[in-house]
Amino acid sequence: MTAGWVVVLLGKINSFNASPSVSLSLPRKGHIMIRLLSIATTAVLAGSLLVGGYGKAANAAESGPIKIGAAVSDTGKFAIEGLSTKRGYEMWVDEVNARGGINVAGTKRKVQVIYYDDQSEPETAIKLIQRLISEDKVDFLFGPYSSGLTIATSAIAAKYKKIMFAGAAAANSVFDHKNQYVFSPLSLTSSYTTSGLEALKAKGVKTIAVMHSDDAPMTDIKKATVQQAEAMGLKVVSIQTVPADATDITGAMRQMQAQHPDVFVEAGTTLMGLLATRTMRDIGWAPTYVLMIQAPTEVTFVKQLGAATAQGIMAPTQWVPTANLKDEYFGTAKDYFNAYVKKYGSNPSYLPAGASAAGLSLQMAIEKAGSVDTEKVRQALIDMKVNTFYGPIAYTGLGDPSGLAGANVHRKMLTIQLDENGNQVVVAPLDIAEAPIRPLKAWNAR
Amino acid sequence: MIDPVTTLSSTDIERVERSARGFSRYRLLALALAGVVGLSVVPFLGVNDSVLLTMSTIFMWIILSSSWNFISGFTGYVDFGHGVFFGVGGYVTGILVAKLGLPFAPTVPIAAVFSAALALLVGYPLLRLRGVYFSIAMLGLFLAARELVLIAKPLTAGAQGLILPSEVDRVFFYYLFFVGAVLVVSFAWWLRRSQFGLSLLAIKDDEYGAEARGVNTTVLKLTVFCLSAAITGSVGACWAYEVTFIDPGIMFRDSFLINVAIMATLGGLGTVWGPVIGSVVFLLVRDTLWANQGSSFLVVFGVFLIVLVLFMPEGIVGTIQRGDRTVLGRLIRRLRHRGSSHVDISHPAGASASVRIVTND
Amino acid sequence: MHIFIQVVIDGVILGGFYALMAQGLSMIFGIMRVINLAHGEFLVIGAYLAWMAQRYLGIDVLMALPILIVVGFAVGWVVSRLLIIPVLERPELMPLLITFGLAALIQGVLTLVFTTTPRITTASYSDSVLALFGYRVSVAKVVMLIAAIVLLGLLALFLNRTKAGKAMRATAENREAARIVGIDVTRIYCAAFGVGTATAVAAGALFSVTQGFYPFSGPLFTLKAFVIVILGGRGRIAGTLAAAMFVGLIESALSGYVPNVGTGLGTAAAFILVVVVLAARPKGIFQLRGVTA
Repeated sequence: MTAGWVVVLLGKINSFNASPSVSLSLPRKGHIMIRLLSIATTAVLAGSLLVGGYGKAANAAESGPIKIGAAVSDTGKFAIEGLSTKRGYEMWVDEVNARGGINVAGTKRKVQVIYYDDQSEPETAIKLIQRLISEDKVDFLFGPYSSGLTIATSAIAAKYKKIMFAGAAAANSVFDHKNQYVFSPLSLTSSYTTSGLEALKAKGVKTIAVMHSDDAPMTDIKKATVQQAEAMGLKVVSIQTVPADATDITGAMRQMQAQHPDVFVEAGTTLMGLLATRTMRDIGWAPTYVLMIQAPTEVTFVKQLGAATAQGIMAPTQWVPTANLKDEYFGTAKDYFNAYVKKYGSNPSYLPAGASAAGLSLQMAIEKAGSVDTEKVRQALIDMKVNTFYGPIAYTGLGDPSGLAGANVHRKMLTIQLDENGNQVVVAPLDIAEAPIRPLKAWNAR
Repeated sequence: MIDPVTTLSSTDIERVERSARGFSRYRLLALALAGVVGLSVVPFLGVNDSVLLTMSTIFMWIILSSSWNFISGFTGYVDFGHGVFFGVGGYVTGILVAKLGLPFAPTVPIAAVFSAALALLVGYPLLRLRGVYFSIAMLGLFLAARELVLIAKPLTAGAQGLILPSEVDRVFFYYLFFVGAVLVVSFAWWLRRSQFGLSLLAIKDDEYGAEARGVNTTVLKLTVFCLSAAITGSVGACWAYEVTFIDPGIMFRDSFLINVAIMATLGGLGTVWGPVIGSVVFLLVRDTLWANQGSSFLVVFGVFLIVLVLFMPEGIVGTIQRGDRTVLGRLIRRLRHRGSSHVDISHPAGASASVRIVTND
Repeated sequence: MHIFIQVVIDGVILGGFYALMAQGLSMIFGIMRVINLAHGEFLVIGAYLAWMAQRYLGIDVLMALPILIVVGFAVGWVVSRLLIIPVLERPELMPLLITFGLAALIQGVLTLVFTTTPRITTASYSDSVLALFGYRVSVAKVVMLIAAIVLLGLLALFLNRTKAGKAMRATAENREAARIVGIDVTRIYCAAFGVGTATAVAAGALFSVTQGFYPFSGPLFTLKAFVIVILGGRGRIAGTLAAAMFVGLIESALSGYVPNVGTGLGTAAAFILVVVVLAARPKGIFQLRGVTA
């Protein structure tokens, strides 16, 4: 840090000395010496900054806190979702430290999470993962939110043999290229719309239109949705791909509207969901059933649009805060919900719960393995088959018939529908539905 | 430190000047050589991989900002879309390696040639544009390229991205970018002293005048543009391989332009060592800020940039070289001579910056 | 046919939004020849101000507009006095870098104050839709179109009929000559920047009703606005409106007719247009001499 300012200072000193009236005189030699000196000093200072500031003591592996490095998106385009994920980690750290730490073969060790902002940028994500591994000497990693950044950084995790939990909704491609060190308790993108489609099929729908933002996880969801819909005998009448940062999607939506589908599936981020709902209202399109990814499960969706506008929209969700999901660490899902509200003053979507679940499964694996050794913990993760406040967690190993490693393959997504008060009501899978699916009301009937 | 000027004749002064210049050049080269040797053995000194990554990133950005400096700093055609060559280079390698299974090494020259060809294609019409129009046209090109790569899924796999099977080898990339940096900076050093380079600077200073003197500005501009594009494209190819996964967002980053622009400006546009010093200082400052500031990073970064432009627009090297004729120099002089009537900074009509009469265009 | 007319209507509406976004920039770029990379951030500031006015003070967007315009003018004046005027005589890169620094600063401050949660302003007309002869448009978007046209009219009046406006045009044409005839160039520039910023803030307030925004919404708008300004030709405010309509119609046509990737192509189209137009006709499509409205 000081190197830069010292150089600037040297520059100032130089300009002091180089007064114009004596530019041709002997002092030129002195001027040159100062220039050389500045350059040399910069080099030395830069070098010392690099080497000196980086000489941290090696981590004592047997005692002291377990260090976990986390890449979170505090700024940049993933910052909205990144905040939720970070809070999930914090909730887990609270839980662990409240019980005195993780039980590692009899010794209780607390958990310390080191957060770096990946700025939603690839270079930053790579740099911070490398730094976490090589300098902060962390034991485990929580990866970045975006799939692309996760794939890029998972190669590093594999090389240095560190277990990394994917930050959030991971596309299949994160798990299908034989990397044994990436794990995620979240349901896969390919299973997002399954329960919703099945329930809708049971209601007798025939046609479906899909719109998705042009990024990896949403494209995955589109592909899976189209595939499953066709397998069920539904007709896909329109597919629209829109840029992830689009601010106007009227054209795409009118195209779909013209086909009069029974079901409209939207796969995009929170902002896209807000935009899609607004646009539906503007063009006066109220398809019988609407299934949106992510957005409706966020509190801000209902808050910003109003319950009247948001009502009737369905969304797949990774998690609902009911009483039947529980474990002995967080209690029930409802307990988790209440604790979150107490700490942050707003309701959690499923993102924080997923992040907490990642931490929880790590905790359980460490306790099972009785060690923080990577290979032992990894094996414990693969062998694990538990029920938690987040639902069942069972990671696949290499060679699993699904072709994916480290994924929580068999975990089903739930589907909820927003009621007239903006509350989430579970409507699928049908065997645990709380209420039947209701068709969307026309816009002018609200 | 200022020795008084005593009775020196003009020839004495010239002789001292000449030997002083030769003296300084010799010293400077020796210093640079020592630096090169020193840096080349760093991987053997037992530093950890994070340091290697940091340093190889610095080398990479030295190459990138030097390359950008050739077209923007030397020639004065400020390229706001330079990232397009980086992206194109990366995708050429990505497609060849991931889809066709070629080994990495031969794809780099292919990426360079591809980028140069693109530069030739767009440079021909666009380098006719003056001032900010060229910049915006290049920006448009960059943005268009990103969208098109996103849409052209059969070729580029769009948002799904391409996975390049490669080993994470920090030492390899350290040397790769280090050698690249040495080569490019050496080239810049040669360029600054060559006729070619001086002609480019002449174009920046006064293009019509240069043309009137018989300089073939079109050929020169195109040559340096293609060269710059080829260098940037090769770096893009190497970086894609290092990152192992690319998608349009990763390869065509918004932050690319602002990074090279800051580094080159901070160091000093149109100079040899400017991009080097600018890259080093900027990256070190940025990393330190990022690691320690977290949430207020953007605020501090923004203020830093504003202060830089207001008080040190010639960059570090530029300020050192031109001392008193820079903004900072004048400001300091003004503060020192407070009270006496002096040059008004807000209307530097007689100062070094070229005064342009704003006309219709 | 029905689809065609709807596409045209959508295009015009979209064009209205773009025009509103870009007019302030056109003013600044035309008169000062400065690239303001923080333009999008001024838009976002306007959006947040409108959102706060409604959320905490209960003031509707349209009622708050006059205050917002004044605030925007003041902010613009201060920014240009402190940051832009000092770097005007320097190479073009400098205003670019300094405004980028400003943009980063604003983004950082907004993130600290508001966090990254997306917001959307609720207005009295948020959910209203205009339906005529089977064609529908959202009122919020029509408001933007009307605002853009009104703004054009006001700017035209200002530039042609008022002393300050004429001084601005004179300065834009020849800065040194303007100085010589006694025009206070610094104050004129500050005023121009103030007007441009006020416009941006108002535009942001109006658009915040139509869609969600967060601290990093700015850069995309900046780029789009620049594309429009360049296409319209520097200095011609009416040209900006025409260019905005042009781009709006093209985007609407592409997204309305081309299946699947239409919207993506529409986005690319604007950028490709800039390159092609600049390569072929460097002065923009609708260019005229000097600064006119």
